[in-house]
Amino acid sequence: MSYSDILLCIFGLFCTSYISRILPLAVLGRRPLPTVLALWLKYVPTSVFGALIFVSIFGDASSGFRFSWSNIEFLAALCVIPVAAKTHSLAYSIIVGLTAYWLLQTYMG
Amino acid sequence: MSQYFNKQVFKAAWPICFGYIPLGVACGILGQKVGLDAFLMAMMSIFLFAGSGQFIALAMIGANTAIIPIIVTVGIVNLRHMLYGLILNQYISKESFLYRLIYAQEIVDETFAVNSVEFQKSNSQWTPKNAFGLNFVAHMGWVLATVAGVLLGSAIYIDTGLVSYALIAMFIGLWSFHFKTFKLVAVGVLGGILALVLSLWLDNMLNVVVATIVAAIVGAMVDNGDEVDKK
Repeated sequence: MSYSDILLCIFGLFCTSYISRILPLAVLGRRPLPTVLALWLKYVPTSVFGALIFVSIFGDASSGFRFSWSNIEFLAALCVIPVAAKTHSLAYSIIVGLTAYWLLQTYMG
Repeated sequence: MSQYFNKQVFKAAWPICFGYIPLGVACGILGQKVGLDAFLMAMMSIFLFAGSGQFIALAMIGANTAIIPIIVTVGIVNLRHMLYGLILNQYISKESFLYRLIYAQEIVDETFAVNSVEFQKSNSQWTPKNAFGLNFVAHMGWVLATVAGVLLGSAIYIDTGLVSYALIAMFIGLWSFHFKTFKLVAVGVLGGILALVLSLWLDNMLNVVVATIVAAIVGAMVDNGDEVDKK
C-alpha cells in the first residue's frame, strides 16, 4: 500500500470508529436514561470484559480453541484473578500477569 | 489546569500507560514492518486510537487488503465503543459541545473502564475534567509508545505472547472492578462463555458485541434490585 493510500485508510478508519464513539452521546444528549436501559447497562461492563478475557485466553472457533492445561494464558489468568479481585489494582494485575506468564513460559514451554 | 491534571488523575492513569508501553511498542514494530513511518503511526494512533483495532488494521495493510474491507472490519471491531458511550454519557451530558466531541474520540476499553468506575464510586470526587485529563494522558501514552515502536523497529526483540499478556492482565484488572455482587461476576462469566460459543458463527469481535448484549439482558432480567452497588 502506498503512503497516500495508508493516509486515506487512516482517515476512513477514523470516520467509522468515530461514528461508534459519538453516536450514543449524540442520540442520548441530556436525556436521562430510561430505567430499563440503565438496568441493562449495569451489566454491560462485566459482560464485555468477561467476553474479551475469555476470547483472549481461549481463542475462537476460526483460529482454534485452546482448551488445555498447558494453556499458559489460562494458567496465568488463574494467578491474576485472585490478585485483581483482592486489590482491584490494574498495576498489580499487570505485574502478576506478566510475571506468571513469563515463569510459566520459561518452565513449561 | 490542575482540575485536568492532578495527583488523582495520574494515579488512575499510570497503570493504563504502564500496560500501553509494551503493547504500543509491539504495535509500532508491526506498523514499521508493514510500511508505516513515525508520522503515519502517530496519525493512526491519534485518529483511530484502538488497541486491537490498530493491530488488525496493520495486519490487513501488511496483507495488501483493499481499503474498504479494512475500514469495515475495524469498524465492526470497534462497535463495542458504542456501548461505552451509552454508559459514559450520563456523566458528561452537561459538558460543552466541544468537550463531548473530543471525549468521544477518547473512548477505548481502558479509559471507559477506569472512568466509569471512578464516576460510579459512591461519594466520588471524580469530575468530567479529571476524566478528560485521564483520557489525554492515556491517549498520549499510546501515541508515544506506538511511535517509539516504529523508531525502535526491529532493533529490539519483543516477545509478542508476553506483551499481549499485559493487555489480558489489564482486562482482568478492569473486570475485577465489577466483582461487587455474585450476579455481576456470573453475568461476566456468561458473557465469556457466550463469546466463545458465538465465535462459531461470528468473527471480528462481533461475537464479543453480541455476547455482551445478550449477557447484559440476562443480567437485567435476574437483577431484582436487592443487590444495590455498595462501595
